[in-house]
Amino acid sequence: MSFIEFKDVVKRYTVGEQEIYAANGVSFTIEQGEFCVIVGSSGAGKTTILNMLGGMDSCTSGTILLDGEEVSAYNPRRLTQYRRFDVGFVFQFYNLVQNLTALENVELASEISREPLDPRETLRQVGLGDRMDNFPAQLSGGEQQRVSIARALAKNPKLLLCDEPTGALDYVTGKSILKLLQDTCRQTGKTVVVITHNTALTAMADRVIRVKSGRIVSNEVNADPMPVEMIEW
Amino acid sequence: MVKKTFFKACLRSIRGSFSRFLAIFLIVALGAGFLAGLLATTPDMRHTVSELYHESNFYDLRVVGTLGLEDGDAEALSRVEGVRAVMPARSADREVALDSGDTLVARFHGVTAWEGDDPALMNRPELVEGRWPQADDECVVVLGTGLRQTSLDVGSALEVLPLENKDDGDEAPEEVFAHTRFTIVGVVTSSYYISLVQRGSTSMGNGSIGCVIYVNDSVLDMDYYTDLYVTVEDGLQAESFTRDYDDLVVPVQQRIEQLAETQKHVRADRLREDAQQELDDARQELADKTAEGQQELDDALRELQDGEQEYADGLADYEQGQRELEDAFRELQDGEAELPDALQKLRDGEREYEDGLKELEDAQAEIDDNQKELDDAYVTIQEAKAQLKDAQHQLKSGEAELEEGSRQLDEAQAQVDAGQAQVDAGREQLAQKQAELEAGYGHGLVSEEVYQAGMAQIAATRQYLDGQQAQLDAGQREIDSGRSALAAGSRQLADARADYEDGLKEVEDADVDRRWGLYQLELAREKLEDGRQELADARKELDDGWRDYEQGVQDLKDGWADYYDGQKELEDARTELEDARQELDDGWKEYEDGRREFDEKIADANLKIRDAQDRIDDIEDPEWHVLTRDESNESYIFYSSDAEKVAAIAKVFPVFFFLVAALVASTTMTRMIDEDRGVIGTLKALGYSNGAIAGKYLLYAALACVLGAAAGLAVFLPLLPRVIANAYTMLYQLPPIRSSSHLTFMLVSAGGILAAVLLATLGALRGSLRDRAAELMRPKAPPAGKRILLEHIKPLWRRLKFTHKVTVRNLFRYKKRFFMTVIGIAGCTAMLVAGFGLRDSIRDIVNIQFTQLQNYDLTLTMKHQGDDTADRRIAAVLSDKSLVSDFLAVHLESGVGFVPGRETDLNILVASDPEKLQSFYTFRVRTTGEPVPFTDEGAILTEKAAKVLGVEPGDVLQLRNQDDQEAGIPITGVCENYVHGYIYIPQSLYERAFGEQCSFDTVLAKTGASDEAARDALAAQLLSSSNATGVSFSTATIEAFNDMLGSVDYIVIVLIVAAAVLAFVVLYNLTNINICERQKEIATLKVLGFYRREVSDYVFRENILLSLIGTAAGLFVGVFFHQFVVQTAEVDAVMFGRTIAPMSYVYAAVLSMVFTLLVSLFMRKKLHRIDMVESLKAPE
Repeated sequence: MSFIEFKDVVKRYTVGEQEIYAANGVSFTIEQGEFCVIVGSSGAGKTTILNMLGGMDSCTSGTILLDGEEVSAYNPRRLTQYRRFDVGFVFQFYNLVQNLTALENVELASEISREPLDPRETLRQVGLGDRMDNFPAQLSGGEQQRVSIARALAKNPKLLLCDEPTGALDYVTGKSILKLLQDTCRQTGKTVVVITHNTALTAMADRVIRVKSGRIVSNEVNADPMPVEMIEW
Repeated sequence: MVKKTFFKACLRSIRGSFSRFLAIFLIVALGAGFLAGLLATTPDMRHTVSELYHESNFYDLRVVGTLGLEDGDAEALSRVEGVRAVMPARSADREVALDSGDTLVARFHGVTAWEGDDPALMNRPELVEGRWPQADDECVVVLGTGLRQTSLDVGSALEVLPLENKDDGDEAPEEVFAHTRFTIVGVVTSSYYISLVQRGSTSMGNGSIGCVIYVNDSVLDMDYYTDLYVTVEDGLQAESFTRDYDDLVVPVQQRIEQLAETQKHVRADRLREDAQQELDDARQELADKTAEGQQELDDALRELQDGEQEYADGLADYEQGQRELEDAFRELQDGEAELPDALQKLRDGEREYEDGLKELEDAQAEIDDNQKELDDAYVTIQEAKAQLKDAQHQLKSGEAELEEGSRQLDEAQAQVDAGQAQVDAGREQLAQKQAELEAGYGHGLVSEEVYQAGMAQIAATRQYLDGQQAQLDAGQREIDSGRSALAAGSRQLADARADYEDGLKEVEDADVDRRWGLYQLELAREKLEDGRQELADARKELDDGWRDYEQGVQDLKDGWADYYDGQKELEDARTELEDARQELDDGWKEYEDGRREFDEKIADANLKIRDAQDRIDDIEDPEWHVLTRDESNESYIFYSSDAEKVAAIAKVFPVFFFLVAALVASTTMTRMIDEDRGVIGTLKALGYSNGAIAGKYLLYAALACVLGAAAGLAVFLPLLPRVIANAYTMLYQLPPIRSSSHLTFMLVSAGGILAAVLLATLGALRGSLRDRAAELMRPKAPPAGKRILLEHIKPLWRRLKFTHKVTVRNLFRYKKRFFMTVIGIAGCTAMLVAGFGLRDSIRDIVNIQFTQLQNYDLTLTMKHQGDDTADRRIAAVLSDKSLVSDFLAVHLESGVGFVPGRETDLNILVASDPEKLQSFYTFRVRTTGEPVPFTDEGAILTEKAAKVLGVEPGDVLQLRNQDDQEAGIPITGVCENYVHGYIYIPQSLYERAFGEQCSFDTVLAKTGASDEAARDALAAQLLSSSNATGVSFSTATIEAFNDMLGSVDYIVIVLIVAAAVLAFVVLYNLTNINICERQKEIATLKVLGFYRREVSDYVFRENILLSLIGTAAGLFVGVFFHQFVVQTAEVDAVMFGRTIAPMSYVYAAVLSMVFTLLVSLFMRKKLHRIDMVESLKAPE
């Protein structure tokens, strides 16, 4: 059984009298420990999938399974717990709390988790051992994203979900972040799902899922993922 | 075109940020509305009653005279310049009994016309139920409150109780009610009595007026008016309660006062004259009556004396009668004693008569026997004679001779015998004569000569007789010789004869005997006849005797009867006399009584006349009081001060709203401008001028302000006056509130808030507009997280959860928001503190003044100090330990304390015994509670007065007393006091300072009368003395303050609502901004798996913390705010308490927090609606 399994997941919005299918019978699986990239152009439905996978949104129909649990059947509270304990989020715009230091931002997540990692250690792991007491405003974009990743990791989630983690970063920084994510995946064995419009990233993924118009175009396993350093875009 | 697009963009921005627009709209509506509404309340309250006054043609001035007023006075008044109309009126206070059995004091007003527009018809009541009275025994009653009011329904009746005799001895006051039983036919409201609670005081019953009643004027049977009501020209043109109004009325008042100086004497002089006239008449009448009475008495005396005389006569008559009766009695007794003798005599006579009768019968029988014998003898004789005749014839011859001789002899003998008889008769006669003579002589009846002559004659006669005798004797002897011769011849013959003779003799003898017998018989018969005659006479005599006797007996009987009658008559006379005596005695007694009574009455009448004269002489010069409404109408006074209180509060409270409104608007606009950085940049880049760009936001702000102000004014301007006035309907009978012109308030409030918001907007714009377009178009760097002071306190900081750390840091990150919230919440709390504190302050008046400071609960005022019945009556009550535990007489007068430029009314209380006063009043310093010593050295001034005058212990206060005398009084202490201003002066100091004696005419007493019935009874007992003019219980004052507390409750409710609205608006804004600004952060937290509760805590903890800070600040500010409100709201006469009860802080704090939590609860929904997808969006 796959770690993540989408079965005929439909997400339908009603805008006025028009029905929009953001996800229209999405089915895919992701195995545990995989570095998975979901790729698609703007409006393809990848964010919808991310939302549903991340427990931020529920599906209209279909089944979403994670580690054998039926996430799609969760009530809001259970969903919150799912986000709280099982998912770590990395945002495109870091979404750090400006009023908290790097360390505190990590603690913000770790404090509510069941078996959190040590926030300081995690920060050190992401290379911010000496910036722990800085406020987000005092950090660069990459550093902020590292804090964001550290925050996601510190929760010790089953799944790390990253929404365009490099979208707001320059090329070099973006690469380093991707490296961090890949390394994390490799070192900790956590399942990492990265959502991006950047097809170049597919090369480094264990699995690539292509999305278009609310449907899965392909779900391929990359037998030989490239190291990040080798990827160019 | 530009403008049009611009305007469109503007409108669109409103639609786009409706909650922001709404926030400004609301706070402006609230601020402007509240300010205008509260400002308008007092004018509206005044206007409403002013209109009521106009409509009911309410008086402007009320003139009362101590001796009453009359038509002449009214006429004089109507001629005073500025007087529009004058209404004379009568009123009287009386205790009445209701159907329910309750009694209360009613004020009766006489009304001459119930309806009409006559300007001289003032204070017109308005009928709300029933109809106007038609008959004199009908009345209408003024709508009131309380349980008793329920007994004053249409159709029920009330009975005027008879006047009680105020003091022993005094005559009962004159009854002025023509009717004493009234049927209530209608219920009215009266502009005169808009206060439902304060209806004035009275000297009747329990001292307070329980209901007001209007009756036909004719019911009040008085020959004077009690009041003259005056309206002034143009009085309608000014709003009552305002300075303009006072300015109109006061000059007229002064003119009337001027007139009063002369006019007031008119009635008094006339009264005096009338009274004098009446008294003189009475005096004359008394004199007449005295004379008349004296005359009557004299007549009575004379009559009595006559009676006495009559009685004496009667008594004499009686005694005479008695004597006569006694004589009669004796006579009768004598008569009675004589009767048996008479009877005996009569009986003897009867017996004698009987004997005589018997004798007669015997004699008759003898006679009859003799007759028979004689008749027998005659027969015999006749026989014998016949025999003899023969013999005789024989003898006759012899006899013839002899007879011759004998005849001769017989003749001679007869002659001799006749002579002898004659001599014997002469001799007897002579002897008788001699005896008579001798007897007459012996008795001296016959003189000597006659006697001698008589004797001589007798002797001669005797001689003669003797001679005769001798002749006779010689003749005899011759005869005898012839006889002897004859005898011899005869003897022969005689022998024959003798025989014959014997026979004859015998016959003869027999015949003689017979004849003798016949003679004798004849004699006897004669004698018998005499006897018979005699007997018949005796019989007759006897019969007469009997008759006399009978008569005598009868007479005696009659005499007795008469006697008894006389006795009875006498008895009656006696009784009559006794009665007369009794009557006379009664008459005397009556006379004495009458005399005494007369004397007493005359003395009494004289005394009365003297008293009356004294009273007339004592008639003081009357006083006229020309009173404005403010001086004469309780309702006006209380309403005026209540309206002022609202005005004072109105000055203070809206400030918060105003401040907060400006802050909220400016925060909101700042945020809007910050959000619109990009747009501003774009516009700038497009070439719009700063002014044009600013215009957009100014227009936005102005629109929100104007609309908000309009809405706020539309809602609050009519609403607040109505709500507050409604609160006062508990105390006042008010018509629906009428709005006066509010243009000023509208302009002030709307303009003020508009200016404030526009200034704030400009301030916010200035920063943004200074920046270059390019900078603006870049997102504004989020305010950097900063370490705050608290973090340096490591142990504390480390202990905080980071969520708390965020909260704390956030608090200091957004300073404007911080201040807005803190000020708003502080304002809210402060308002609550002030509101609750106001209650405490007023309650303090009651609690402290009447339980801690004033240790007495009854004040009795008296007319004068003296020692008469009235005072004894009071003293009897006061010294009854079961009623009054202790009392103290003091002197109380009103005065004015002044320092240059300032003055205040003071009650001057003079105590003869400073020591004892301290047991009736606790002198202490409010702040420290230290006692203030009260000695003979100086006076104690109450706190408020001291503050107003700026006087401190050791200063000398200039004091003007009731008689307008001024003196400097050294102040040795200032004491805590809340109600009225007092200066407590020791008697010695007062008298030294003012140089006049003071009378102790006020009594402070501790009664402990716990229930109203006991107080009423005590008051009635005291007021039953004519010397008592007023009794007031602290409880009445406490009740008045409690009523005030009731109205304050409404204000507190208004404040709570206002505070709540303020808290809501502020917190709503804060939260709204918070949530809007931190949507992403919140979404992130949600994505991170924060529970709903954790999310809302994360956000609202800030609110709560801010509210806590605001509340704390508010509690602090509230203290000052409360002080300010209290000092503004309180009038000179009253000092409100200065302390706020701990519970009030608690209430204020709890309520503030409750508002905060309610807002949080309300905003939580908004929080939960935030989509987590927000977290994925790019920062704005």
